[in-house]
Amino acid sequence: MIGAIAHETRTMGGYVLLEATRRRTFTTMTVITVLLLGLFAWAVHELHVALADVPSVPRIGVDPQEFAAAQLAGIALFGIFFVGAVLGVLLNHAAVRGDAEQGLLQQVVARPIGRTVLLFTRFAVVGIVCAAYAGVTYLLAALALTTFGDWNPSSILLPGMWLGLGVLVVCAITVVVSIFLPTSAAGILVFMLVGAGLGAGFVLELTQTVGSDALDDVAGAVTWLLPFERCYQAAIEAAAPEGANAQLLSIGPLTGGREAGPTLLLWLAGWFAVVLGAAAALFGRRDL
Amino acid sequence: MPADTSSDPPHDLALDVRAAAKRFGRIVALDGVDLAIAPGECVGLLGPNGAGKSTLVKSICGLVRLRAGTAHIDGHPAGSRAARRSIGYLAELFRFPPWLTVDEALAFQQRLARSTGGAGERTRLLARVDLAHATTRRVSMLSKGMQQRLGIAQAIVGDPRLVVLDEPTSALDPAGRAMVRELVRDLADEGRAVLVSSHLLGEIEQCCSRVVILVDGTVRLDEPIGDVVESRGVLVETGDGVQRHSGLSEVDVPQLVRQLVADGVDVYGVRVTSSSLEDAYLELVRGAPDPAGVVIR
Repeated sequence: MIGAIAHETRTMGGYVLLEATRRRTFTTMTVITVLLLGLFAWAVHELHVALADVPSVPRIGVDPQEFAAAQLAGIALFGIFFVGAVLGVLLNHAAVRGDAEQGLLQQVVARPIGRTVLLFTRFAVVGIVCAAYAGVTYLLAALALTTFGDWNPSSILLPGMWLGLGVLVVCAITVVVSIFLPTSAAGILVFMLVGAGLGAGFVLELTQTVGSDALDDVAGAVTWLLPFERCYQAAIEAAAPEGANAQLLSIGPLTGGREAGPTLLLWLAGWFAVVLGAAAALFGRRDL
Repeated sequence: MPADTSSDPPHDLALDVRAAAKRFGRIVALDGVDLAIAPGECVGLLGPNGAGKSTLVKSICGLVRLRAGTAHIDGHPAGSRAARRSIGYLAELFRFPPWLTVDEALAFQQRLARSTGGAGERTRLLARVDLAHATTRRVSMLSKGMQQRLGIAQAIVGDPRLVVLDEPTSALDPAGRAMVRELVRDLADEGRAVLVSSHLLGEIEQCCSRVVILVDGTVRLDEPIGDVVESRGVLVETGDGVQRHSGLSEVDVPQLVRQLVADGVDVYGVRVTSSSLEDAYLELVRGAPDPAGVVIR
C-alpha cells in the first residue's frame, strides 16, 4: 500500500513538474525574477551611493544607510512573497474543478491513483517549488543588499524560511479553493484572500499607533485565519535591524513585523492539518 | 469513494450494478438500475439525452457517488483502488494534456495504471488505433478524431478487465468508426467486458452482443442484440384495428394478405417494420412506434 502511494506520488509529482516546464511557467518566472533582482540590486546600489554623504544621528541611534537598506529589504520581502504566491496560484488554481471541467481530471482519477494522493501531491510539489523559490530569491536579495548596500539582515535564513511557509499557506488555500471554483474564479478568490490577509496585516500595524482594541482584535483574527500574513510579518521581523532604526521601521507598512516563534509553528501545523484534511474529505465526496 | 458493499457480488462478473440510484438535486439520474456484464461480453448502453447514461458510466468508474444500490467491478466496490485497477475508461469529454506527446500521454497512463508493458505496449496500442505514425506529436497538434483514438488506446492500457467507452466514435470519420467497431469486437473476443455508451444506434447494433436502453434513469430494455433486431414484422390495418405479424418481411406480404382476405378480414393497409434497433429504441423512448421507423409499402 505504501509502495503504491509512493509510486502514485512520484507519478503525479513528475506530471505537475512536467506541466509547469512544458507550459514555460518556470522559464517565465526565472526570467522575471532575474530582471527584478537586477533592478533591486541596481536600486540598492543607487540608494547606497546617494546616502553615502548623509551623516548618521548617533544621539538617537539612527543610521540612514541602514534604515534605507532595511526599507529595501522589506520591499523585497513583500515582492518575493507576492511573486511566490502568484506562482503557487498559477500552478494549482485549476487542480480539481478546472481540470475536471476541461476533461483532464476524470481519466486520471478513474485510474488506481487516489484522490487524496492527487490532492496532496499537487499541494506538496507546488508548495515545495514555491517555498524554495521564495527562500532562494530572498537569499539572492539579501546577497544584493550585502554586496551593493553594505548591509546584512539580522538573520540570513529565518526570513526566507518564514517567507516560504507563507507561500506554502497560499498554495494550500489555492488547492482547497480549486475543489469548488472553476479556474478563473479560483484565481480571483485566492488573490482577494491574499489581499485581505496583507490588508489585515497593515491594519494591525496601524493599530499600534491608533490604539484601537476592536480593530486590533479583528485584524489579528484575520491574520491567524490567513496565516501567510503572520509568516510574512515574522519574515520582516527576522530581517529587521535592532535599535532605533527598528523602532522607526516598525511603523512602516512594509517593514513593521511581528515576532513569531513556536506558537506560530504550532498554529501552522494545526492549520495545515485541518485545511488539507477538510479538502481531502470534500474532494473525496465530490462528483466529477 | 467506494459504493455500498453490503451485498456479496459474484466474482465471475466483470461488472455488477444493482439497484443503483442517484439524484442531482430534484433530478433523478438513476432509479434502481441493474446491469451485469460478464467477461467477453460487449454491451451497448443507449438512451436519450438526460437518461442517465453518463451518470451510470461515471458511477461505475468511481467518479460519481451512488445514493443507493451497489456497483462492483471484478468483485470490488466501484471507486475502490482495486476496482479502478480493473477499469479502462474513455470519458465522453475526452481531453489529454496538450503539452504531452502521444507517447508521453500513454506512458503517463501506464504509470497511473501501474502497467509493466513499457514501450512495447505503447507501440502495440498505438498501432491498434492507427496512431503509430504520431508517437512524437504533441496532443495539441492532433485532430479531434486522433485524440479520440488516443483516448481509446489509453483506455486499454494495462489490459483492464472492464473497458468503459463513453461515446467512443463521436469525433471519428467513417473509417475511424469502422476501426473502433472492429477494436471493440476484438476486445470482447479477447475476454474483456466492454460497455459502450453511445447515441449511434448503428454502432451499437454492429459491435455489441447485448443492448441496454436507459430511459429516465431506469432500464427499459436489456436484451441480446439478435433478439431486438429479429423483432421485425408486418403491421396490417384491418377493420378491427392494427394487427402485428412478428418475424415476417416484405416477401411474406402477398401470402399474408391473401390469407387474411380469405379469412374474411378487411385489409386497409400494410406496413413492413424496418427491423432495426432504432425501432425498439424509439418505441421505448417515445412510448409508441415511430412512423419514421416504419416503411410503408
